[in-house]
Amino acid sequence: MKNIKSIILLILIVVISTSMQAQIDRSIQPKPGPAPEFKIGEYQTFTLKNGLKVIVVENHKVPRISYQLTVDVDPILEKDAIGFVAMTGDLMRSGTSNKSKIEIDEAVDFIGASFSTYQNGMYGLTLTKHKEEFLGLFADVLLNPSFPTEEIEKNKKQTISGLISSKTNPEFIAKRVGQKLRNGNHPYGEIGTEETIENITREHLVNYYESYYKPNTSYLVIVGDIKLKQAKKDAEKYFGTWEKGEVVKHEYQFPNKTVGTRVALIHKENAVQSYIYISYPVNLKVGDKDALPAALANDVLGSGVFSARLISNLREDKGYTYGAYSDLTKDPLVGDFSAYAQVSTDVTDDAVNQFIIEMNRMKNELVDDNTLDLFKTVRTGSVARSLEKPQTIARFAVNTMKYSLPADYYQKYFEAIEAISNTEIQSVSKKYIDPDQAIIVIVGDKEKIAESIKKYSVSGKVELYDMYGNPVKEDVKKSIPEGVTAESVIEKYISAIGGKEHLEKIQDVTMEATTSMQGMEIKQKTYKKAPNKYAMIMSMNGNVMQQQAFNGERGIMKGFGGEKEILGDDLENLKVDATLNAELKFAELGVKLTLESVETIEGKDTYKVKVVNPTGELTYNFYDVESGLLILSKEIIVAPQGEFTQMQSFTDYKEVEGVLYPYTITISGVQNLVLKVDSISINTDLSDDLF
Amino acid sequence: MKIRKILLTLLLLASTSVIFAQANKIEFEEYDLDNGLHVILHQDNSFPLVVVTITYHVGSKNEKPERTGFAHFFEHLMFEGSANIPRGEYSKIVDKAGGTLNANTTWDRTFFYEVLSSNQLELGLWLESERMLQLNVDSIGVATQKKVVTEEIKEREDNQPYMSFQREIVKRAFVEHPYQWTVLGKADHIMAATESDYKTFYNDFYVPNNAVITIVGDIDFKEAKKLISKYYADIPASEKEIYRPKQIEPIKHKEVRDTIYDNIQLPAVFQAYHTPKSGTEDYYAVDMLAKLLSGGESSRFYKVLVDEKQLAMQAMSFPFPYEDAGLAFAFALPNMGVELEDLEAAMDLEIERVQNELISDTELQKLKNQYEVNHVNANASLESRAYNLAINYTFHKDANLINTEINKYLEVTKEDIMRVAKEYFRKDNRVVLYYLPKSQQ
Repeated sequence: MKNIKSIILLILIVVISTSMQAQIDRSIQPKPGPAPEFKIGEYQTFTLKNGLKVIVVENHKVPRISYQLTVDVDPILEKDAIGFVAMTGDLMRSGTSNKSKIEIDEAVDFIGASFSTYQNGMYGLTLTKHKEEFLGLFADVLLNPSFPTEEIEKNKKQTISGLISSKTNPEFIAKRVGQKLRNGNHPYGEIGTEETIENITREHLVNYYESYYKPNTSYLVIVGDIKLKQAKKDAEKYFGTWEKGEVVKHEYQFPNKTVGTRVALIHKENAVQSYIYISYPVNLKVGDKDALPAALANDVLGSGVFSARLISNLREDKGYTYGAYSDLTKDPLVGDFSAYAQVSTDVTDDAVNQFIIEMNRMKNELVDDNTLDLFKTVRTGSVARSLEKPQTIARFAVNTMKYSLPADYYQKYFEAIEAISNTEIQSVSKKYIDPDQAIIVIVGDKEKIAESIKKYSVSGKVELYDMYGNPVKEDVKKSIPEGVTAESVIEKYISAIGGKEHLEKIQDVTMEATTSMQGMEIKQKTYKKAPNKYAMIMSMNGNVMQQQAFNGERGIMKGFGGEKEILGDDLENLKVDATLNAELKFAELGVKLTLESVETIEGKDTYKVKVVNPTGELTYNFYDVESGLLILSKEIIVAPQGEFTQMQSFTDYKEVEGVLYPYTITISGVQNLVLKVDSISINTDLSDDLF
Repeated sequence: MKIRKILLTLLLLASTSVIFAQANKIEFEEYDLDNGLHVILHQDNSFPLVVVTITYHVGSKNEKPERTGFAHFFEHLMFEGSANIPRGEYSKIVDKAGGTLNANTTWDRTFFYEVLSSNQLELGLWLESERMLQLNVDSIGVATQKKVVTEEIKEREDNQPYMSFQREIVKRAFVEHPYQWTVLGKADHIMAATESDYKTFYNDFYVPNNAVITIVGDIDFKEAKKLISKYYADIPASEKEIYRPKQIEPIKHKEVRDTIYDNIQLPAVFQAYHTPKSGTEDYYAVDMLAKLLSGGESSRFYKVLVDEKQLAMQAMSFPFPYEDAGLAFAFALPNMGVELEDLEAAMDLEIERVQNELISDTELQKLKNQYEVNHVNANASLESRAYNLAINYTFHKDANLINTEINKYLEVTKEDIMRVAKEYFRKDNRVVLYYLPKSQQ
């Protein structure tokens, strides 16, 4: 009996488990259950007597409350002090008439709150239990900022340092230049530079605060663990005394539309990638009839999901980039379309091409129903998910007020998305997605990409800009005249600086020069003695910082890191560089010369001569066609991270004992340095001990 | 006097912890399937969303030295498809369901997640089970992802100022442990990867007994358990022992110092001290020390280096919580015209202060208040809860740390902070890198 039972049990188990196995057909994608309803949370609003509009979203899940204040005013032109509006915002919490910055920092950090102030607004998050302390600080900062002079100076210094450190950040540069070029004379086109930041004064900040920070143009959004009644009491208590006032309105002309694609290039020497940023202004506001279809059209083109066309083409299909996206930004004054990616240098041309193809496809083809449905679901899904955050509800509330939207605009959002047809998508694409009115800004290596991207420009020209969007003069390629060779260029140079005879009389040269590095004065003394002895001493305040000596065979370098012998290729290069009047002996030294082209450097035609040392070290020298003088030298430095260029330009030639020497040497590459020659003396019978 | 003070501290501690127990306790259930897959479920029906995450206990430290970056590269391959999901469809299925997905890789683990409306739970479970059981990667997919990952390395490390710091620090900090290479690894290692590399890696690490699944949100426990069993019970466990590097990094007694010439405009200084691994007792004090130095504008680095002496534009300290080791980074970007030596001396001075003077009661209370806020914020969204549960179990086999870890911070004393400062923030226990512009080379 017992046995039989257990056998039966066993059989049953086997049956059950096999039937369970059989239940799974993995090839069938599971069907969703009935769709849940995503409810848009409630919000409440009230207005204080001084005109401050307050929006409250209650959410008691987590014991914290956030406060966000937005000053809703027109932008202003900042002209020669661009950056002061942002600085006013940044410096709001840097001191009040009651508290120093340090006291504010201490108090905020003590309760673990976060509190930041920025252009036309401020935001803070606090635990419910620290609400009173927090509001005290928040209101003090809003109503009594003191803008201490030393904080302004400090912030200027930091902003400038920040700008300088961003000079090698391609994304930062591309987006700012794009912003400037597309917005033209509109305030949105103003971007700060070291110079405009330097021009900011305390008056700018105080005037801006006093003219524009008023309750009647501001919104306060309170989200979190608080009841409406309490929020009203708090608002009255902390912000009720804020005095209302007249605020000036400004109107600006919409930026001119670009007719035909423009290509703008910011040169980044030897960049391994190009940053492509395609943009133009659009006239699109929250609540416009076109707003939702246009947003959906942009989703299809360039949202972050892998099904979007830019990312699936440029990343998933071609592997050109880690990510390619587009944005369509709505704005009450000037919105913008932008599409961007950071791509490998060698595919820059085709990457631009693919961007244009995808943008045109949006205009020229109907999006098929499956794709459209997919992106509708993506958008509604993403909005639905965002409803978990009470901040979303607050944003809806602000938009409803600010753009006078119908009260049920967001309640009907999902329906409105559902109703969009593919013909509508095409018609808004024609209006808002258009490469023909775009400015294609590229930060990358000019030498490698300029030729290939010309064709995208309607003028056939690539416009060159610096990192601040200022035009850079274009080089025009000219042909080398008949009969001119590298050797003849060098000969002309030799006769221009004084001739072989004068040069050969020189036995030694002593040069003293001065430069400044980060505000400190540095003296440089260089000695050269025939045939190839060389020494250099760099000192600051009489203290030697760096020293180099070469006695014709052995080279030594001394510096912070102690003494080091110069060896290998460095030594071989030094043998050439140390040679007195090396120009006369290029052949003897094994230096190879090639005349490459005629290039315009700072308005002057020059012969570009490629100079290769026996070690393979590469330099390009540029000799003025007219005067014969060397005006620029570009050295290519090969490092494990890639190739980099070091430039020296020579100006201010003066005669010493029949020979011309440049008295100003400007060194540039990743950092700028100007070397001013104080004196040059010749044949002073230098002692061999120096070397 | 003394006793009263201790009592007061105890009271303070007690009251804060009580608040957490009441207001923020994350309730969850956990169990193992027979194949070793660890399951954690947390229910919150207040909003119709569900988060599905899978954490594989594999990261760059499990790589071979000639295949650095492979774990991260493999994360990309996991989106390629499966026996039942054609190439390129994986993400599309989630898009079509109105959900979102992504993944990320660290030194120690690879984390995948989907956020879906709650009626799509089964879809999420099916998707993850497909790539755990029968990932399918074709040669086109491999070739494309090799290029994508190479561009990712360029974009994140090579073409960004200072961003090579991690690579440069770890290769000097670790001589034994595989933490000596970064998660992104070397592009040529990725390019050299072959089919057998993928197969071995997948079979070795992407197995249920090396994974934790969390389901968080608007779920029904019974239904969720049934679905997990349906999709995961028949995925075979790996028979092999899972490779975990055993190398122990020797204790350091000599400072490593070097200069990196980078494509930058402003120089910078980076320091990295060897510290205890994540989850150890001293780890919490070290973490707190980092916050003391750079958490908020009243922190010591910020206040002294940025505000008072105006030596730095930015200065911060942040711990890298590895599973097998720890590094505490300190970093400062000088203002124009400031010498790195002066800046570094000022940073050292701040560390010496912590070594020689106990921090004040107010400062300690401030730190604890900040951790309290972190704790509240870290568990606010469904996504972060799902993540924290998964990570706490993966590394510490204790998912409940989501509720209790805060207490480990609240128990840290002033003396602990001084002690760890002395013990670990020694000059002979660190790597220091000066970043200088190329032009100064």
